[in-house]
Amino acid sequence: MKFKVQVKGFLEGVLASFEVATRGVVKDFYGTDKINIDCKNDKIILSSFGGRVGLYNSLDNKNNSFLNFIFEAEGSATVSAKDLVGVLQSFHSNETLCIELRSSSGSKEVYFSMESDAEQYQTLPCYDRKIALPQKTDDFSKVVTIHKDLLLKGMKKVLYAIGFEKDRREFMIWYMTIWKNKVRFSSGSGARHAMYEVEGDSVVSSDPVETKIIIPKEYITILSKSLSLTNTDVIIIKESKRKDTLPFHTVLECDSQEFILSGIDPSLKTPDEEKMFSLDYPIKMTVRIGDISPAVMGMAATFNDQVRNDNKSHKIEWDIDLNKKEIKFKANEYMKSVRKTPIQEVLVTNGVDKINLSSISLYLSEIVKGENENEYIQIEVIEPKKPVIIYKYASNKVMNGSALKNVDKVNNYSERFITCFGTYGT
Amino acid sequence: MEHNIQNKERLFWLTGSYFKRREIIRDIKENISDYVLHVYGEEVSGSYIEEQIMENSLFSVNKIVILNSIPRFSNNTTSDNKKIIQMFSNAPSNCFIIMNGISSSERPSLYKLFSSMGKTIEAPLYLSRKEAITWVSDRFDQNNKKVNSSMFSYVVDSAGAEENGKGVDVDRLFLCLQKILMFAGKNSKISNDDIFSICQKHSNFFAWGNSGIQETDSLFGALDNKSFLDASLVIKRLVAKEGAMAAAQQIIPLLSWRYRLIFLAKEANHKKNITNVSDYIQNSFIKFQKEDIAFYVKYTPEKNKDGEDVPYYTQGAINGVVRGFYNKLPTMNLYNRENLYKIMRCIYEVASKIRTNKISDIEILVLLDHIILTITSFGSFSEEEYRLFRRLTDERA
Repeated sequence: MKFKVQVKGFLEGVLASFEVATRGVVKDFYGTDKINIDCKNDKIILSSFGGRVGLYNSLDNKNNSFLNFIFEAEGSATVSAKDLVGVLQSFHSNETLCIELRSSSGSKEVYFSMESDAEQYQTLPCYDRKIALPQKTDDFSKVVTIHKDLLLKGMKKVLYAIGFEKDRREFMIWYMTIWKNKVRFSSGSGARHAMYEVEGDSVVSSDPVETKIIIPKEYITILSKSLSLTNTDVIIIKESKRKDTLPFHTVLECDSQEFILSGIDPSLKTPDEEKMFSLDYPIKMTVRIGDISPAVMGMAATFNDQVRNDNKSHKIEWDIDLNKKEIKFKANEYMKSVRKTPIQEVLVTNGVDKINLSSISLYLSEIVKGENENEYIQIEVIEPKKPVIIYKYASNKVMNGSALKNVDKVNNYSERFITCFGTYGT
Repeated sequence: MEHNIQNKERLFWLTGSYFKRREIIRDIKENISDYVLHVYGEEVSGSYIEEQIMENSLFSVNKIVILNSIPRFSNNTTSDNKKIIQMFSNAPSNCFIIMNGISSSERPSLYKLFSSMGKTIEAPLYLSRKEAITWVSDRFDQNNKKVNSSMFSYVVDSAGAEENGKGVDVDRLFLCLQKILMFAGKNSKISNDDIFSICQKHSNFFAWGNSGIQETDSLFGALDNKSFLDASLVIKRLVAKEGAMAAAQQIIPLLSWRYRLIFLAKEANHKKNITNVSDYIQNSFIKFQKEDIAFYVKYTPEKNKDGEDVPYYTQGAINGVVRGFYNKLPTMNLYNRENLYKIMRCIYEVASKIRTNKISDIEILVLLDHIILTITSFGSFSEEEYRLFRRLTDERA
């Protein structure tokens, strides 16, 4: 194996493989921290597989303008992913490297020598055994095409709500539900649930038209990072048939990369989100995000080390006075806090004028975190024991929840964000 | 009182057999159609569990909380008990709490408090052989499988029927049954052969002795039980795996070793001057090693690392024959001297035939059957039959 490449382009290509080989890997799996470098006539193929996600990563001069690949001899080597990145980062990004596989006294090493001065070099020992990528089927049951940026946004928007209890697998997932020209990204812990919905012409295409793609938490953390390092616009997601000769797997295809997600449980089910929408919420109110922020800060001040050491969740009470158009947020821990938030508009259909409920304070702070203070949210409540639903992209007037959306003129689609959470107490 | 009745329907403490507990939990789940499931063990604190119990579900009306360990609030057992009972009492009426697999003896004080407010169910860990047979029969009926009733006892025996003196282990029996049901798949009829293939030990596993395993699955156990069928099955499996000649080469020296030991023990037992048969055999029969010194050969007693002579028969093997294992009869009591003489003669006869003649696989099987028949049917071959058999095999060879 012998080839020349520019450090910048090669390192860019290696990073996605590095993520797959080192992030969220299966303990003691052979592929952990290993990358296969396979030099062909017109490209370099990097493959890595940490036990969950396998990546077939093809680098050539067409898809990487900084690679400047010059082929000299075919061959392959398996090296440590961390050490490879370390070696590449030790050179200047504009440097051209001559990479060569050499054998000395029975062992193999990859030589990285500078083209400008061959006396300066780094070496990397090779492993004897190559990594085998998981096998991939040719016959898929689902094929979904989506823009990479939208997919990454869909992950980022809802992943904060993903579950964490290992015995509740149905909440340890991120999933996307697809309809014609509409996609919803969701995740939740069972106690709270986040949904980000995008609708517009050609935002997504799918076969079958209405379908669902489920990706478990361990995989999504690897994907969200490594997908962002890929050089592509569109991603094709394919899911194998459940009764195939090969084990169930999902494939994400980019221009020159292919992620193979193996070991996913095909029997995973998603919670029934429609239950949230089918409920009748008799109390609806709109609140300016900037008005909630002081209450959130007040609550945060009471969440001190003493409360943390108690290993308990930090709770707040919502005293909602619908006549006064005011929510009193109360924290009652070692430190106390009472903060008022004005309600912009209220719509009540069950004649109630006051309602008290209790929730985890984190759920409130998540709603306002990173949002524009001048935007509004619409809060909908049934009764203290029932779930609370919150729509972002609201106005100061109460509207029907399905109409609360933001139109993104640049990308030519409309987006909705809905979150709901369970309350506390009997 | 009304509150108490409600608690009895939503608070459970299950102990005993894993599969029985699983069945009870499945029944509870089936009765509560719409629920979310929480499962917690030692890894979470009591406070966290309390919060999860109190939080209203987002997607379901009901909640099932399975606790695999006693919730821990502090290091004080008494105050923890109080908090746990309080937590259970305050739990919403739509929250079902199951203490799963926690022995009542782990914290008797809490168990006592719980039993007054919730339902305690103790699933048996062991069944008597009779109960186990009925249990197996019921399970086949429940799964709509037709099985020859004579096979029920075979299934029970393969799960280790009463080998530990306590009874049949329900969990092992359940696993055995699951294996059969999975093997049968959608077929409504399970044949005797299906049961034999599943309930026998793995085809690669051959047991000579019967220590800790089913007597019917070991060659010696089957021979001592005078069960021609069981002994044949063990040999059949070995022949299928290794071929007739290799099987014979393994079995015959082994039988020769064993029955010579029993024969020696029996003879020694009849000699009045031998007071301790075990010691006599162990000290009199020792292993020798060969030393080639120039033009002659010298045999010297083999020594262990302590410099002691290595006995030909181990203490365990001799004890099994002379005193018996656990509550079993000594093996030498299962055979009389005349039987042993016939058995030894048969083994040596067959060994010499197999060694000296070119012999077909079928003939080897006949010769092996001859040994088993001789051992299991107390030498039912009369002298005349034996001579006839010997002449026939001589002619065929």
